[in-house]
Amino acid sequence: MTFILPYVVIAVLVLAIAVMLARQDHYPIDVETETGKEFNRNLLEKSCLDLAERIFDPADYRWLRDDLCFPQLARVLARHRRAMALRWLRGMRSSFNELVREPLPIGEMRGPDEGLPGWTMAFHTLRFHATLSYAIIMVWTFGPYHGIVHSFDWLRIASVAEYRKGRYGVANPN
Amino acid sequence: MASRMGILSFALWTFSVALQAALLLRAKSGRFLNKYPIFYSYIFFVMVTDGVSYAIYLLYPHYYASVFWFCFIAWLVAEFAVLAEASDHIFKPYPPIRRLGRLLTVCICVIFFVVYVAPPLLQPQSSRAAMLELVKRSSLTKAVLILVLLGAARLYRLPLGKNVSGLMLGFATYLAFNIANMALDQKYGGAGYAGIFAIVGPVSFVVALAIWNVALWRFDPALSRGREFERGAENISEPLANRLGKYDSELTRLFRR
Repeated sequence: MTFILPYVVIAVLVLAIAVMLARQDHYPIDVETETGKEFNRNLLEKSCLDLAERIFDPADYRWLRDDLCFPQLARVLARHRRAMALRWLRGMRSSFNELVREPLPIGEMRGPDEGLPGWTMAFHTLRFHATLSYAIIMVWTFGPYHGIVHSFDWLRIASVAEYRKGRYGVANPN
Repeated sequence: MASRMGILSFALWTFSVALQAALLLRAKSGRFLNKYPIFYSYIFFVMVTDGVSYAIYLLYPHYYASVFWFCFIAWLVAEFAVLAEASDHIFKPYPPIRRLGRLLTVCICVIFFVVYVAPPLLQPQSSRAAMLELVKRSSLTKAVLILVLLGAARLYRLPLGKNVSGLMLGFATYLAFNIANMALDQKYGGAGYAGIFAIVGPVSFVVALAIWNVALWRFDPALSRGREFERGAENISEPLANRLGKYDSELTRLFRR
């Protein structure tokens, strides 16, 4: 009985989730407000990026905690910044998804065998979502000032190697 | 009892063939056979092999089990191709994720085969047990694939269209029945479940065929959303890959401080 029970439960779950996901009438297509959409659209503009820099910058938090000696106020600020950071990251995801949803103009429709760029873009899309999900989990768990920099160190190493490779033609010029 | 089961089996087989024929004829008269070539080839293949195996059951009953399982394995493999085709229909109109369906299909199939499907097949066991295990595990792999594809479509809020959502739902129903049926047969196969097993399998396929008939009665493709298209046309001068790259680089830049 213990052997078959998981499989029967899995079968029921598969069916229930598939029915739920395949239903289109409850798609939350227009639930975002116009303000939210506008915010998402301008997310990569300089003002929004400056705001993001500010959200993830621990300087204000440290100033409150260490210089002014208001640790409780600093904690409240960190809590608010965490909510803002999560909102910014989710906005980034919505904005990216909106860009992804842009279909090709009919005149530019190409055949099914598009070659490498299609695969590369799909890979980049997956990578972006993986990175973003990781960042959301880190911020949600530890706040906007903790851990993300260290956890993304491997990205720095990878991108420096890629940059050097692109610039000098080798991964390590030395 | 045995004759009653035989009549029920024959009735299910007849109904199944009728639904398969209806599906093919409807697509032919609606001129959308070529829109889902792999799916309709699969239905045609099932119809032909069903007929051949039933003829073998009547004429050479000793060979029936071998022929049935051989055909069943071929259907199992073909179903992966049908799901890949359905995923293409979901993601094709969107260039950045045009290949996402195929990528997910390949990744899930390879990972599940290496980690979940292959290991038990390498253990010593009877060929029937191995076959049931293979069917159960490959069905679960396909069910997970369907859920991941539907989940990805939901994540991007992509419209599925009646055809593709029905196709996925039909498969999910059939696979869910299969998973439970195979697990129950592995446990109670020798204790009177064999009769029920022989009925549940065809019933699940008839249910799936009924769903496909309803969903594919008319050609209803997943149309891309017009509003995003208008917005996209404004910025079409900048390559999409560059715009996507900006997101990636800004995100990594922010966390590299």
